Amino acid sequence: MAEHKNLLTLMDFIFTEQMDSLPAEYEWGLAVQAKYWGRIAEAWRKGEPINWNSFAGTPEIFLAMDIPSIMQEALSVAVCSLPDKSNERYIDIAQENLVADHVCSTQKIMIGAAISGDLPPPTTIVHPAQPCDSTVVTYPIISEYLGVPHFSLDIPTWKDERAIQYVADEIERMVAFLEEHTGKKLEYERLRTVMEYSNAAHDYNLKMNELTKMVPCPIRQLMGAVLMSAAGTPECVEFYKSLYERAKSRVEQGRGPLPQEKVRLAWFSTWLAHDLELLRWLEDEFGAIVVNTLLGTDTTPLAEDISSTRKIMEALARKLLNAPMARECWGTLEHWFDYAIPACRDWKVDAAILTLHIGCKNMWAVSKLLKDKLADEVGIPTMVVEADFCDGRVFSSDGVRAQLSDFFNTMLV
Amino acid sequence: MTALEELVELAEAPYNGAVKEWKEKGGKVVGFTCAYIPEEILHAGGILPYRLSPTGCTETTEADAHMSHFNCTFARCCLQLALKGDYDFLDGVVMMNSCDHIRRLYDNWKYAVGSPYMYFLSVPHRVDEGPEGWYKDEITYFKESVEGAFGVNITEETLNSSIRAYNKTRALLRKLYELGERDKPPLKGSEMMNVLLAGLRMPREDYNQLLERLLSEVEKKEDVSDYQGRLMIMGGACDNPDFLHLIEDAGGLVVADTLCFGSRYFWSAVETEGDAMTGLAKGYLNRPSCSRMTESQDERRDFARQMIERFKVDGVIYQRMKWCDLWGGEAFYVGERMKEMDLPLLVLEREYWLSGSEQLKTRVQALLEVIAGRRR
Repeated sequence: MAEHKNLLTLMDFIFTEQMDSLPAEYEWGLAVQAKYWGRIAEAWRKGEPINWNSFAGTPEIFLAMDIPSIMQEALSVAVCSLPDKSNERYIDIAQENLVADHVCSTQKIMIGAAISGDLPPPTTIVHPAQPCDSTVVTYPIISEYLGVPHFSLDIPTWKDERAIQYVADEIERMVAFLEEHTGKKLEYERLRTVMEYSNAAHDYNLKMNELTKMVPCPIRQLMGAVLMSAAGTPECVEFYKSLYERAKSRVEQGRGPLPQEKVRLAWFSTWLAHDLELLRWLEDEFGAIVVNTLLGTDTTPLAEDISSTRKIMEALARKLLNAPMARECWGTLEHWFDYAIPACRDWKVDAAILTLHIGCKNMWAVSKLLKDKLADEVGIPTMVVEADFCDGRVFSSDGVRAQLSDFFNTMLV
Repeated sequence: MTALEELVELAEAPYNGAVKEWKEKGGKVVGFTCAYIPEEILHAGGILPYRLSPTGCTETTEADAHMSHFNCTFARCCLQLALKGDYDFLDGVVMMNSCDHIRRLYDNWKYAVGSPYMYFLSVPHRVDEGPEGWYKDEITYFKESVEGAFGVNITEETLNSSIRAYNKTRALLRKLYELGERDKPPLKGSEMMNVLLAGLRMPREDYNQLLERLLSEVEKKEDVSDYQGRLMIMGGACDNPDFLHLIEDAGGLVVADTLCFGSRYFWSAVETEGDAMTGLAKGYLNRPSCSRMTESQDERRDFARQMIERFKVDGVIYQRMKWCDLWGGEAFYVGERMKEMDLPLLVLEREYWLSGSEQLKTRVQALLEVIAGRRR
């Protein structure tokens, strides 16, 4: 891999040649990601426009405009899997350039990779100003550093009809920005086709979500959050269809991926990108399966009306406001309650885990209120563990596992 | 007592004589957290707007049980004082999505403290026509909520009158602040901060009178000349005059700032042409910006440059709260900009209260030595 100085060609190489390097038992959507990175690498080789976006975004727009777009957080997670610990190197570079050590490591990887030159500058950067301060601040600063045009979609706290119309307007402004800076155009017919694929994938995903409420849970929850980067592609539909069919078949057989499902967990935080074996360890040690996850359980609604560009914008606005993490983290505490309480009840959860990432200050600040609410309303315990999503040096994996062991041994098993 | 002495005394206590007197007369007081919340709306309803500024907080034991130690101590101190009952005199609280910490301060306040009236504003992160429309609607709903909760009628006339009162404050503060352009300014930065803090916790009309008195008094005041460098403070919320005292003790003179408790609070006036809510929406959203605003980097750079040039700044102290991601991220390009401007920069991460003061003083002295070295 040493010959790959450029992260874009490196990702293409990893996802086409090195897929086995990731733990196979989780649902990463590797084939989807291979195509995703392949498109980006090809555009880079041809010198065509490339965009950067943050998660909880609108992949459908980029696809319809034929602008390959790198979801930076997906790149950061993938970088954490590299054997040379590039994640740590990039984080250090960002911090050496005055980015505070407590800013989200996911975005520090982006900044460090860009400063180092390993990540070529894009043509444009767009991002919704959600779901946390780190996302709000890091995209503008890296765009300024790289001298790349940048557009930030304003996302309000509320999720009502007024907010939907406002965000739909914001997406239209984003499209105008992309058209101006890339020369690409958004055509309704192409957008409608992309939305049909997006709807098909979301439909399978929502049906699969229903199946994961069964006991035993028929399938491991998605770790890859594939919809966030690839919704709108045919391969994404195929991926979710295959997952759904596997889950359905297992439900019919009354079995899940674990020999014996002892504990059902809701994982209301990021998992650890620097320790992808953690969830497997929980399964092996405690028979614990994650049935609902903050990032993996995508509950964004279908785009019911795609009869006009404006209607699609409104549908995408609904998606943006309800995307994983934006759904709970970008608002007042009631948004957390609205998601977490039914998630624990409907998914028959025994305990909630909050491996709270140091970058997620907004989650840290309500962890007690959430913990108390889940105990009062659902009657389940919540374990809060200090962690860092992409940097194992801040809180070690061993330490996280020790705390989880104590929790399982004293509270659950 | 001089006007300055009166203002310093009013700034020192969260529940000061002016607020007590207001409450004793049956007046309502509503706390708020951020410079993007238009005080004029409360003022027009006959309510005393009170900006939360947890003066005197030195520990957060109770607050830590609710918010975590990964949250900034400004927010935790506000919660601490609320949990201890120090804010029991408030009849309500208004907060907004300033940052993750303040947004969650609202949640914790709501569930762990509770106030008779609580309101949350969703303020845009970008400034242009669309977000301005959203913000105007938000503050209009806020006005209606205040009217309903407190049984008051806020008219166009009362709003315009409040805007005029606040614009008068802005003009007086700016006149006072601009005295800092002099080589020997009449006020130190710590004194100016006290003047500003007093205004956050007293009736506006009384404040304006005190400012007018102060302006006439400073003409007779002895000018400050014993300093080794003219400094500007940048970064996140800073309302602690002791922090500035420490810089002054080290030999620096704070002549300018780009703080939300400082110059950004009063620098631009609210337009009085057209309807009042439009004026407030434009005025507040377009004031010199906080790092929460995503497309305003150029504006922040220009404002800082303008302040540096006008106030003949020799060096910059960029301070921010530990755990503040907004200002923790912004530091990246502030560093780049100071390099471009060839200005010495000291970056400080701090807690709300003053801790490690000797170490801090040493670092300020080192900055002043760099400044002195450049003069040689």
